[in-house]
Amino acid sequence: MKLTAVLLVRNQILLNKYNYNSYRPIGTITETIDRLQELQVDEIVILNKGHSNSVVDDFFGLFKDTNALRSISTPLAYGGGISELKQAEKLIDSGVERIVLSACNVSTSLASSVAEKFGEQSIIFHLPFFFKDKELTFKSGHREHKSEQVTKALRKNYGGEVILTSIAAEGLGEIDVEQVGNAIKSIPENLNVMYSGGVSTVSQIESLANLELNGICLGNILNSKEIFIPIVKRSCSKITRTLNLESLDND
Amino acid sequence: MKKVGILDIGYGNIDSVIGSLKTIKVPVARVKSPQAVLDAEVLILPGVGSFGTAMELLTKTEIAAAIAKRHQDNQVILGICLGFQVMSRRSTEAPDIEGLGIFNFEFERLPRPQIGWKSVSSKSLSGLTLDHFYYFNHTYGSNASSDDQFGVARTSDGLLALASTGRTMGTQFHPEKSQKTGKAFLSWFLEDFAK
Amino acid sequence: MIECITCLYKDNHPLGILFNEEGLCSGCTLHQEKNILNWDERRESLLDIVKGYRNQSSYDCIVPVTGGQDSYFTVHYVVHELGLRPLLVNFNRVFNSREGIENLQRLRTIFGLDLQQATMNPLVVKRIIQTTLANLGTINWFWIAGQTSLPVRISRDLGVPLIIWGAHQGVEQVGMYSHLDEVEMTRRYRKEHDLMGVDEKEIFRFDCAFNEADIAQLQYPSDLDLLDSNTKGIYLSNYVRWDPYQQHEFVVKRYGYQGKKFARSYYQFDNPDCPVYMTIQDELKQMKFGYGKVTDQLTREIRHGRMDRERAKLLNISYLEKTDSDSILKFLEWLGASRGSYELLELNTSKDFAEKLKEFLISDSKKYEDNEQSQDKDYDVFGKGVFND
Repeated sequence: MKLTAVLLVRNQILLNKYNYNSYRPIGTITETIDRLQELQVDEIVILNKGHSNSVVDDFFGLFKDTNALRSISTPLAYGGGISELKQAEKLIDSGVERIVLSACNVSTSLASSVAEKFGEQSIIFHLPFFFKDKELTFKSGHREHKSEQVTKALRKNYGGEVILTSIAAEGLGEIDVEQVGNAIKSIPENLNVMYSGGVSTVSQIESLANLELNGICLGNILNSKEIFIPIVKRSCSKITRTLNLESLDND
Repeated sequence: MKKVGILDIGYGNIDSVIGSLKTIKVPVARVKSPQAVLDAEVLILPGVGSFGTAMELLTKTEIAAAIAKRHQDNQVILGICLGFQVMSRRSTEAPDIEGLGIFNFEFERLPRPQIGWKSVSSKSLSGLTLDHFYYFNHTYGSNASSDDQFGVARTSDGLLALASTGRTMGTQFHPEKSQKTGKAFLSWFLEDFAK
Repeated sequence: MIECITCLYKDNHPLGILFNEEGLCSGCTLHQEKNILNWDERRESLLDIVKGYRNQSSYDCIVPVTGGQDSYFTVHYVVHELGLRPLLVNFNRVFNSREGIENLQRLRTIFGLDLQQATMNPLVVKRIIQTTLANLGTINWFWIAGQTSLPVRISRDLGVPLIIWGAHQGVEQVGMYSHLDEVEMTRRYRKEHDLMGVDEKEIFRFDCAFNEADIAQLQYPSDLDLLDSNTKGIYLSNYVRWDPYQQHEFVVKRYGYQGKKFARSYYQFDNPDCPVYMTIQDELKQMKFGYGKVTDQLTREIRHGRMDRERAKLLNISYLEKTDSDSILKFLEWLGASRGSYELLELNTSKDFAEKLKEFLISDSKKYEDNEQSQDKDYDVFGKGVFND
């Protein structure tokens, strides 16, 4: 199981998210990426919350220059408004391992063309979820999707992994591990699943680690605590990649 | 330190590999023609894309033949992920298309894409201490066990992580995305294996 | 430039700032939390955190202090509300005023607490300032680097894991986190925001007349050290409804805290211990960002409902026009500002300020030579308060 950092950006500022639509400014993303690499994060997912016309330009605008982007030696994923194959091509050619698509795109020609060119492993589907009258519902933007439709579409093998984000738990919310387990069951077995939303303590991670997850995503906690990732890796045996103590001695 | 040529013909995540090599102060250039493939001191085949597309491009540009010749002439090659897979005999990702055949095994679709870090250990490769974690991101893999012909290293869950024959090596993992252990691997490859 | 509809901050705030659809900045939005949160519950939460640290080592916690009023309030709270026994830690600010020295002395005496103080080689301080002034447009870098790392090193070395700071500037100014995030001290925040993206390792990308050994006092411990020592730095402002003005009134009354009047400051209690910070450093801030400490103070007053925006705007303009020539002259004389420093700063601020710097240019060849006189005269004078009125 991996520990993945989910970083939200808008207008090139790194953000923390509280409740569905409330954000706080953290700083520049490059300082955070450098720090996360020092702390041995397993993967970084960047989600663009902006609404500009160019999701690709927004990405490159996060980095001072190409060298800054090239020097990232941690797997990187990026998404938030990708709508064309050529955008995906530009991103993947520049060092992004995987692109992130929303629930709307689970079985579109965009997903199929990216999967055909780069392989299914190059797509992550981001599926924010909540329970509406006890029924699992996915969301993309303002649109809601019944889980059965999404599950059926996911069987088409266009993606490698799914991030399930609990809308109720995002920010400072409580995690309902049973609900997360139910949401995981709706994802076909041909896909890996990661969980995101409200993760802030080692004990939450240990509870989630008992579910069928390929990874746990960390959001707000990343910048508000000093060495959360090493502490989790030291305490939780289910995280696959153990801590390299020698590398932590960054003197 | 040897000079590295990275194959650049329209597929593959080249920038990250360049970035990693620059961090360990290795001179690197993009390689785009069959002659440049033959002339490079060390050739790296990067690896993001699909088997069929990659092989079509390699064949169309006549670079496939140049790579095969490099291997026969015992010149150093490193294939990363897809760059490794194209050096095999075939992949079920594009069953009608032949690979370069440098490694005499095949790649098959896995039940689920392997995305994440795994520990890799080697028993049969001298001079290389793996026993580290590396990053994997692939849908097709191999269980090949050709210890007689190839040096191999496996992940802790039994999948092929690395194979070598002569002075050609392929890694299923991405050293350019495996942080410090990845850089250490590249340094070893260039300083020891490619000597 | 976007301006907040309520306070005086604009979108060029160096910490990063967001505006909602109505034009309210993220700092003002966060401030609303102060009026909603149950502060009794926050206090209970803090008591719960600290109880695990009581009587576990030679001190219950570390409190970084200066001769300023936040220190008084924080120490008061730690001792009398939390019932802890802290070690006070101070990184010598070098340009100490009489009031600052006396405040610090009174602080440790009234509370009867141990204080560990670190003082850097003053000649090295001067060389660091020459570099940071030329390349980052700041004098204060060395002090922030020291003040934010010394407590962490002492925590590691003495085995006292808990550090209790006063206010988190990012939360208080731009609403960087919710109070409920209980944000802790991080290397990342220190580097990006406190040290303007340049820490004690990266300073060497500039032309430096000092080396690593010279700035050992500015080193932040490694992540391995932090993991081993379990060091954790928390901010009182996440658990107490933070209001510097009211806190100041309290510490003056109870502890005889001394303030100091500065021409550019609305508050008379803000950083009395460092005249350079409230004068020339503040003019540098204005030069770079178009606002000064007074803007921070007045924004705070607006948010606490004690001043309306229009009056605050007028006061802001008026205070930002002021300059403290004596302090600037003394500082520049001490520094021996070089032609190189002047050019790199690309001064475009008030004519007066530019002229004063020009007066103290010396030739390039003497750029980093230590003025013999300063070894004897200036350090002692600075240490004991060169800015005596």
